[in-house]
Amino acid sequence: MSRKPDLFLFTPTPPTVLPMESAHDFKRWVLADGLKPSVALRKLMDKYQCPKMHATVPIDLIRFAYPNIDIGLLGFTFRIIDSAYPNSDPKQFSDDDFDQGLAEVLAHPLNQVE
Amino acid sequence: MSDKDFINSKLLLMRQDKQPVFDGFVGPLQEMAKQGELGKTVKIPVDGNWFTVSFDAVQVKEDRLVITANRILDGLTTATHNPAERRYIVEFAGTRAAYLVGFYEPRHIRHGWPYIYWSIRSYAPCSTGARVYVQDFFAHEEIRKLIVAMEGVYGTSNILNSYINDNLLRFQAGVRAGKTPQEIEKAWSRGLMEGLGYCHVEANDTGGPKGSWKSVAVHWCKHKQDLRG
Repeated sequence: MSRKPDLFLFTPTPPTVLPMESAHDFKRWVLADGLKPSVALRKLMDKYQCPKMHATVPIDLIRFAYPNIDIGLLGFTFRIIDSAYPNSDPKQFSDDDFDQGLAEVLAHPLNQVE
Repeated sequence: MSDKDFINSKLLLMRQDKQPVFDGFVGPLQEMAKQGELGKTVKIPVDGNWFTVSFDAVQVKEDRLVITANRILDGLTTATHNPAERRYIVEFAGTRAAYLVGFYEPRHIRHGWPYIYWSIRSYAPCSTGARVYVQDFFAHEEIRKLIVAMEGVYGTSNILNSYINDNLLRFQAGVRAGKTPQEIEKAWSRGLMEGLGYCHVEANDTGGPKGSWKSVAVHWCKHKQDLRG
C-alpha cells in the first residue's frame, strides 16, 4: 500500500512564481508575434523580473504554448534543465540549446501526427 | 597542520591513487595549495561543464569522486503558474551532477491516459569515463519516492520517460549484449517498478538521432490494457 503524500516533504512555494498572464504573454509572443522562443523567454524574464528563473519555467511555458506536443521526446526536458537553463544561474544559460531543442522536438515525426 | 600542508597532503594521496578522474582536478587544487587557503571553491570539469564544489566536500570512494551539496528542494512543490498543480523536485545547491524533476500530464496526446514523467541525472560523467556522484542521492530510491508521492496526489498508473540512451551505461552495455530497449529497461528497474505495481513495460526507439545512438521512450503501466502494443 502506498504511503500517503502528506508524509513527504512539501514546499508550497515553487522555485519561481509567475502569474498565469505570463504564460499567455509567452504564447502570444511566440505563436502570434513570431518571436524566437528564447527571445520571448528573455522578454518574459525582463517583464516579470525573474532573471534567475528555475528550469521548470521554460518547460511550463512550452507545455502551455504547445499543448499537443510530447515535450519529453528527445530528452527535451532534460536538455532544458541540464544545458539550457541550469541551476537558476544566468551565467550558465544557453539560449541556443533551448531554441534548437524545441525546433527538434516540434519537427519530430511523433509530433507531426493529427 | 597549516592549510597549505593539509592541501598538499591531499594532493599527495590523490597522486598515489593514480585515478584518471583527478586529471582535471589536481591543477585547481595546486593553485589552492600555493595560496594556502581552505574554504574556497574548486571548479572541476565534468561532461564539458564546470561544476563548482568546495574542497572540503570532495571525497574519494573506491573509483568514485563524491561531492556533498545541500538539498535545496526535496519533494513535492507547486507549479510555476498553478498552485494546484504538483511537482516533485530534488535539487542541490551549486551542482547539477544530480537532480530529479517529476511532472504530471492529465492526458497523453496520442494514447489518452494520464501519466507521470521525470528528468533525472544521478551522476556527472567525466571525459575520462569516471563519474562524479552526489552524496546520498541514489536514483532508485529517489525515483521510488517520486512515484509514490505523485501517485498519492494524482492516482496515476502510467509512467512515460524518454532517455537519450547514449548517456546511459546500461544501454550501451545492453545493446552490445544484443538486448532490446525493453529488455534493458525491465532488467534495470524490475525490483523497483514491479514492487510498486508497474508490471508492464514497453520501450521503443523513438528514431531520434543522437550521435551513434538513438533516444528511447519507455512506458510503464499497472494495467495491461494501457500498453500501446
